[in-house]
This record gives sequence, C-alpha cells and structure tokens, in this order.
Amino acid sequence: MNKTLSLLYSPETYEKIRNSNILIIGVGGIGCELLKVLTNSGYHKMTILDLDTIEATNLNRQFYFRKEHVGMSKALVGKESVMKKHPDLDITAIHGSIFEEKYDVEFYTQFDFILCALDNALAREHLGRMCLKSNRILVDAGTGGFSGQANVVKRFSYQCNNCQPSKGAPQYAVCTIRASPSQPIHCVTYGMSLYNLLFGPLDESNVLAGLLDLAQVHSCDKTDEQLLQSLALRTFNKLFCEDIKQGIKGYVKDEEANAINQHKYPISYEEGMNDTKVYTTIDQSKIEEEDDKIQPFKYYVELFVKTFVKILQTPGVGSFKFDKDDWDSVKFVAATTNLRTYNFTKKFKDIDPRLIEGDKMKYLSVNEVRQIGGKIIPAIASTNAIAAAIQVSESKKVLEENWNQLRMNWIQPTYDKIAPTYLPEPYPTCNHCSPRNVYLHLYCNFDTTIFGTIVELAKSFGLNDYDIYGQSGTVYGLHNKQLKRDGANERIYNKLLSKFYLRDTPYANMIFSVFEQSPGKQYYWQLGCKLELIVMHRADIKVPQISKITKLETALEQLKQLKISKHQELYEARMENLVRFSF
Amino acid sequence: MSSNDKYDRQVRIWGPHGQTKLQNARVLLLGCDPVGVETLKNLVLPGIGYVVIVDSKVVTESDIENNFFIPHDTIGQSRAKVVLEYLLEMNQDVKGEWHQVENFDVKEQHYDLIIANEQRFSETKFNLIELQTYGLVGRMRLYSPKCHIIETKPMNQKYDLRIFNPFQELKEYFDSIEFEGDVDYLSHIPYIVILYKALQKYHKEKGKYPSTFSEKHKDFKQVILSLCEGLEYQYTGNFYEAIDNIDQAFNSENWKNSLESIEIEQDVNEDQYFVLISALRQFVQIHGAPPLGKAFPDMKCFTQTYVHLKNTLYGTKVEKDFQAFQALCQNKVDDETIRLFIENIQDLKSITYRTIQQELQQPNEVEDYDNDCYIWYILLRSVNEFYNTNNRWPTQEKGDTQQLQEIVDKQCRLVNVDSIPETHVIEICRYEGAKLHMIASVLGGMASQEAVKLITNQFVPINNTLIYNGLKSEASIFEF
Repeated sequence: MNKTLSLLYSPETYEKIRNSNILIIGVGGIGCELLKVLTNSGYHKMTILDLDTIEATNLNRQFYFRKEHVGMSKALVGKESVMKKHPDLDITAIHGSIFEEKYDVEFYTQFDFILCALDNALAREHLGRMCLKSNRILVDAGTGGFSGQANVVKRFSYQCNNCQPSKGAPQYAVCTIRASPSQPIHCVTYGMSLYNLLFGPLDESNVLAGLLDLAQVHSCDKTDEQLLQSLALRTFNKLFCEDIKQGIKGYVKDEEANAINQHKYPISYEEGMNDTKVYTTIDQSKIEEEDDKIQPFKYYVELFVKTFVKILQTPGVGSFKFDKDDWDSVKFVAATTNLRTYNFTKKFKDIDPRLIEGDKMKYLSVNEVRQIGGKIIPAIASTNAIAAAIQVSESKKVLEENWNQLRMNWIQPTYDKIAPTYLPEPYPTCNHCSPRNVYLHLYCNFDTTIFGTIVELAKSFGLNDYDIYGQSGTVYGLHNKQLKRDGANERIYNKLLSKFYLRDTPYANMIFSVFEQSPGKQYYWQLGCKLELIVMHRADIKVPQISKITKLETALEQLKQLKISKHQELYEARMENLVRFSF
Repeated sequence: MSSNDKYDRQVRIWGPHGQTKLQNARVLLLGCDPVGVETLKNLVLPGIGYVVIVDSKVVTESDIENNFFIPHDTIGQSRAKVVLEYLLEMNQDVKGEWHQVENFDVKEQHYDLIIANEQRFSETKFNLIELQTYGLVGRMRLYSPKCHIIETKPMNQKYDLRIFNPFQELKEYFDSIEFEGDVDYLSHIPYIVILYKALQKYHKEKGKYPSTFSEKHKDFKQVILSLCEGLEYQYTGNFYEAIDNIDQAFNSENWKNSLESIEIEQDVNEDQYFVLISALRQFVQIHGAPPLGKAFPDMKCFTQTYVHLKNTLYGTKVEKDFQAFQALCQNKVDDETIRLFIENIQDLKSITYRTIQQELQQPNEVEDYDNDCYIWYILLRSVNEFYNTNNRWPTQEKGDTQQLQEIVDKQCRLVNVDSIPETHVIEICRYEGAKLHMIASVLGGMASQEAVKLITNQFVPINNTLIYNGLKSEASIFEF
C-alpha cells in the first residue's frame, strides 16, 4: 500500500479506491491530467475511451503525447504512456466513439462511476444522457482559458448538465443573423443554422426557419446526382443572390435597411465561379496547412455545391446537427460563411464601421470556422491540472458516498481562484433528468388574441407563471411574473399578443408553466410530470387551438393517472379543456 | 510542425507578445518535491524558455510514489537530473540545466521567476512563488519586487466615454440633441447622449450628481426612465441600453481615485512604466482627464450618427490626445506601448508586495478569522516552526500534539486570534508532512497560472497568499 495515501485515507476508502472500476471518457487536455492524478491516487482498474487522434495543437498541454505520436490514437498512446510509469495497472484503452451502439446502458453499468473529460458539446450531452439512463454518477469538468469548473452529476439529486442552457453561449438577434451580419461569428452562425436547417430535424426555433422550401430538399431522390447538383445550384442562387437582391426590409428600420442594401453584393453561381481572387491582406506564404489559408473565392463556391451534394447523400441526413468533428459539416459551414461574408462586405468598403471595421468582418479559413463554430476555447495545461485534480477529489467523495459534501467547484482567474458552491437541485423542466415533462403547443393568432385569453386558459390548466421568449431564445423582461388580474396588470391583460413586440421578432413565443410557490407545482409533481404550455403564432387560426402533434397523447395519459386521487375534479376540468382546445 | 501550431490555443489568451516573454523567460526551481515540479510542468508545456533545477537529494521510493515525473527505475540518481530530463522530454523547445547542491547562489544570474518548492525563501530581487503542500492542505505565496500591470484584462471592459466630463466638442454635440421628435428619432438617440442628459437633469433636480450605488441604480435610473415617458415599450431599447450601461457614465470618476493610488518611486524612473505614469500625471494636470482610448462600444443608433460619434468626435480626440501624450513621453517609450497603455488606462494596476521576511515576523491580521483557510494558515506556520525546532514533522504521538499545541497558541497570540479548534490540530498531526499528488496537482495548476501572470505581466496576480483546503476543496486569498 502506498505510504502517503495510507496516511491520508482511511483503510476503507483506500480499499474502495483500489477496487473501483472507472470509465474515463476523453484523453485530451483534462484526460491526460486525470490519468496522471488517478494513477497517483491509488486507482487501479480503469477504461479509457477516446475517438480522437493526436494533433499538433494538443502538445501544449497533453503531456502523455510527443511529437512522434501525432496522428495516433489518444486512447492507445495514453494507455501505453501511463503503463510505462505504472506497469501493474489494469487499463483498457478503447479507440472509439461513445455514439457507437455497443456502448449501451449495459456498458456503462459495469463501472462504479464515470469521469468526463470531453470538449465536444454533443458528445457530452450524449454521455450525460447515458449516465442518467444507466443511473451512474458522472464526475464532469470543463475549462476555458484561466477559468473552469468541476462537478458531480447525480440523478434526481443534483442538476444535470442540460438543466440550464449552457452559459456563455451568446445568442444573436434574428435580424443580425438574417439581415445584417457585422462580425465573422454572425456569418458562422448563419452557416451552422443553415446546416441544421437543411440537414437536421425540423426545428421551429432555428433562426433561419422559413428561409427555404425544405420539402424539395427532403423529398428529392438522393441517388440522382444530377438532381442534387441542380438543387445545390438553385439553393446557392436563392441564398446568395436572389435573397440578397430582394433586400432585407422588414427586419430593420427602413433607413438602416437602405444603408445596408446599398452595400450588399449578391453573387450568382456563375459569377462566383469566375472570381478567383483571394480576399485577404495577410501574408499566407508561411502557412502550410491548406485549411488554415484563405482560398480563392471560387473555392468556396465549389465547396458549397460539393458538400451540399455529399451531405445529402450521407445516410442519416435529416437528423444531423453541426459538429466540429464532422469535416463535411465544417466545410459546408466554412463555404457558407465566406459566401455570406462576400454578400455583406466584398472588399471592406468604408461604410458603417460596425460592419467592416478592422478585423470585424473578414474571410475565414476552414480551421477558423471550425474554431469559431465549435466554440473551441483556448485550453492551457494549468487550468486543466486544477480541474482534473478536483475531479479526483470529488471522486473520492463519490466512493465514500459522502453525498452532502459534493460541490460545484468553480475555477476563476482571480478572486479566490477556487470557489465551491452547493450543487443545485435538478431543474424541474429539464428534458433530460427531471421526472417526465409534458408540453402542449397552443396555436393562436397573435394579431387578434389578447393576452388575457391565454392567461385564463393557462390558469384553467393550473399554470400561473409565464415567460416570453424571442425566437432566438432570449428571455425578455416579463420573466417569472405571476399571473393575476389586478390594476397593475390590467393594461397588459388587454394587450394583443402581437403587441409583445420584442427586439428581434414581432411574434415572441410565450411559455406558461407552474409558478414555484403555487399549489400547481405540488399537483404536477405528484403526477411525476410538469406541464408547459407553449403559445405560438398562426395567422390562419381564429380560435386558440392546442396542437395534436405535440405530446397531447402523453399529456392525456398522464392526466388520466390522476383519477386515483382527490384531484378528480381538477382532472375532469383539465380533460375538458384539452378536448375543447384540440384540433 | 512549427511551434506556432503547438502554442496556437494559449496565444489566444496571452497574445504573441505574452508568448515571446514566456519563451525568453528563465525559471529557477528550488527543490524537486511534487508541487513545484507540477508547476514547472505547466510552464514547460506552453514553452517556457529556460529552466534551472536545483535539488540536493537523490531519488527514493517515496518520490516514485507521489511524483509523477520520477520514473521507477531511477532510485539513487539525482532528483534534479531525473526531473529535468523528464520535463525536457515533454517539450523540445525548452532548454535547461540541473544542479545537485545544498546551497545554490541565486544572485549570480537573472531569473524571471523563482519557484521555492516546499521551503520558505526570502530573496527579494526576483519574482517568487513559494509552495507548500501538507496532507490535504496547500499554501502558495507570491512576491514580486515590482508589479505594475498594464494589460490587466478585466472581465468587463470599461469604456472611457466622457459622459461625466465631456470634452468641448462632445459637450457641444450632447447639448445640441433635443429629446423632441418622432418615435423613430427618439428610439435612435445613442445611449451616451441619454446618460449625459439624465445626469444634467438629475443634477438640476437634486443639486448634485449620483454617487452611491442606490442613487445610481435607483434614483438615476428613474431619471433615465422619465426621459422616455410616453414612449411605447418597443421603442425604448436605447433607453434600456442606457440603464444597462449606467456604470459606464461614472468610469472616469472612479478612475481618478485609482491614479492617486499609484506610487512613483523616484529611483526607478528609467523604467518605461514610470515614464508613462509621470506622463499621465502631467497630462491629467494639463487636460483635466486622461488621454482618450480608442475602444468605443456598439450602440443602438442610426449608422450616420454612429460614424459621426466614433470617427469624428471621439476619433479625432483620440488622435489628438495620443500625440499630446506621446510628446510627454519624450521618446522614451515606443508608440506601440504608448497605445497599449492608453487603451488600458482605465484598468492599470500596481501591487506592492510585503516581503516574506515581513510576513514571517508579523503576518497581517485577518478580519475573517472564522475562515477555515485562515486556521490552516496558522497551523501551517505552526508545523513549520515545529519542523525548524525538531527537524521532523509532528506525528499523532501525545508528546508531539502537546508541543504543537503550545506552538499553535503562540502563533495565535501573534495574530490576535483566541484559539483554533482542536479538531484541526488533530487533523494536521495525522498528515505527518505527507505530500499528496492530488493537492500538488491543484496547487501546481494554480501556481503556474500565477507564474504566467508574473512572467507575461498580464492579468492581475494574487496578493499574496493562497490557502487551498483539500478537505472542502476551497481556496482563500489573504494578504499576509
């Protein structure tokens, strides 16, 4: 037994550490640190899994890897390097993706707990879900620059990673993305949204929703290359030529629209193919990697069409989401970004400094797009070391089942540097970890319906709390207002829904839910579900209607269970409402 | 593969000039215990220039157990040599040397940073980070002979918008704006104008400017809202923008106080920083305000208004101020540094560190003495004193705990603390000076962050002691 550890750990804890079987996902910046601390803290049996191969940019912090390892599997090289120092350890290395089907609930159940060292949002979300499903504790960490955090996710006790929308992911106004981009990120966001719109599942909250007639894309014969090619060209011309020519009136004030319209540059496919200029002032002679260079403009025109066709031919299209590790999606977004940049700047003419100042709007290389789009944040060895070591410290508490001591550990560049806070309770409406949720979609005409109508309807479901969201997801001033009809609320009560005009959209969605202190909360918790009413605009509807396509069936099912209880009356009233308002 | 690829990610944090400083830096590590080596690892990976490792001991079994950088087949070899070889293997851009000696003369060479690993060290000529791990507790102490930071990189950027004290042209512009017109006009008045007008109105009504937090964020906010009375909510975006930016109106006021706190030592007036500071003092004397920085935020207004504000009004003033300031620097500072200085003028920071000697004799008293980390600090001082007397760490033996308790009482009197909980004394006796890898890793990570701050002269380093409590995984900073 290790002498240092025996002084500090009780024999029981040491035994538990020694006998535990753990899974480490990700052998990157944090992963390397984790392996180092774990193997020096008595852990013996572990499985490490990583999909990636070693890149040059990893070497500034991932110390298990050397120059000669570039291109090799992180998991396999990681294991080899660890075993050099600790030849007696029991390590299984897997070079694979956690999305593979074989890593199912059963796979996760064999481990005592799981340590997450991922930097990929999608994979992290997936891992979080798998841990919830298999009822395994997840010890998570993340860093960016000098800041970071480490925390434990325990099902039903503490918040999961999806309980709160990720912080620091900035939202952009719809008009900025659709009509007046002024920074590279706006064009990249346009590109990513376009990718999700074309190749992803139907999503009404996409900022580009309604931009294209998607039926053509979805229903076309994917084996007909000629057809796909012509579809790609048509889409190209619509997005980068016709739409731009048509102008952007309706999204911004007329004067601004005119100012911007004067300085836009629609470009058709044919014109684009003839433009072979390289739009950059940077000396590119020293850049070796092709993906780091700004290419001749024609390259992006070709790339758009090429990747458009290729992605449509990929099995599974229709369920894709932009992923920084999927090079087709990265290249498609890179092409779109630069075409869009051309539309709005061309060659940095001096108009509004907000549009073109300095490096604000510029053409981007494929790798730059990947970095911006994938929200790749600067990672350094020191912060990773702190995060990983705290993960191991939290792991000890997990093994000791010392649940009350678990903390959310914030790593900060200044102040106290490490600040533990209590882990928050799970968010009741979380899609991933809370007891079941039920969403009802209510459609009504915002131009003819007053707010009060919706309030009364919501109240009849026992909902008495509302939020109003813009299409970009931003919450506006009316957040968490309790619904009651009194003098102060009278004015707003009689207001047409369309008058809740907010900065980015004339028709903001409203979400009605249960107020924290209301009797309704208890009621829905007893149901093991939470009800939310999402109100959306439909111009062609006269009377408010609840859509059947959403989880109405589930909602009814859930409400039926109420019969057993004293809430019979409430249940019947609600059933009646549901029936009354359904299509 | 070029070095640029490898350092791409970190350069986004401290910039190419920060990276250059890092690559030219010489770091001295005194002692090869885990925490210092962990710190050095986090500096070698991002490409520190040159490392010197000094240690008198040879590798033993316990080194292999808790020090990642000492492989198992090196027993009996010099610790300094083994660690250096391992570290350099991780990054071939880094060079270094090792010495197996007891007493190393640090004064012979220049070092950008000395890492005193598990030892107290009172040299005052160089930047210094002292590190100690003890069981589940860790301590880090920073010292810098001169710490003047231009690029403090605060999380919230402050803008010098001259709302409180507009220059002549700006004042004329502000005064020329009337709050009368159609909805379209009103909803496009830039928020800086709104803030200025609201300040004037506030002053007229109350006879003074808002100064306390509640005056600024309650009363003053009401004045701003009164300016858009009658305007429908959807047209008041710029007024709410003004409310969100209330603090920007007072930046130049707050700034006055911070300039006064910067001390000028006459004997070091060759230093660029002091040329800049004395130029700044003169500038403020002549112009009544610091030179105007270029940073100008986006705001809701018509394009032509924005262009006029940014380029014509503020832009002209920026250039004029720069030239006047440049003249005051008398060619002692290059233009690039002057521009950097002006851009950061709102956030300059100077720290005067207490020396280790001062701390050892009499640490500053702390108000928050219930803080667990403070208790651990007193205990660390106590075990160190125990070690100095007995040449070993206290154990759980009764004689040891008694002797330690006496030392603890003495230390408590020194800092005016009544007593500390017995449980903590018992807990620290359990550690017997054990060095845990996990604690070394956390502390090493934090130490290397501070090292980067000291070497690149960016961000604000801590002043001056950090105590990490691994039992609760919390940290606190004290100025001892």
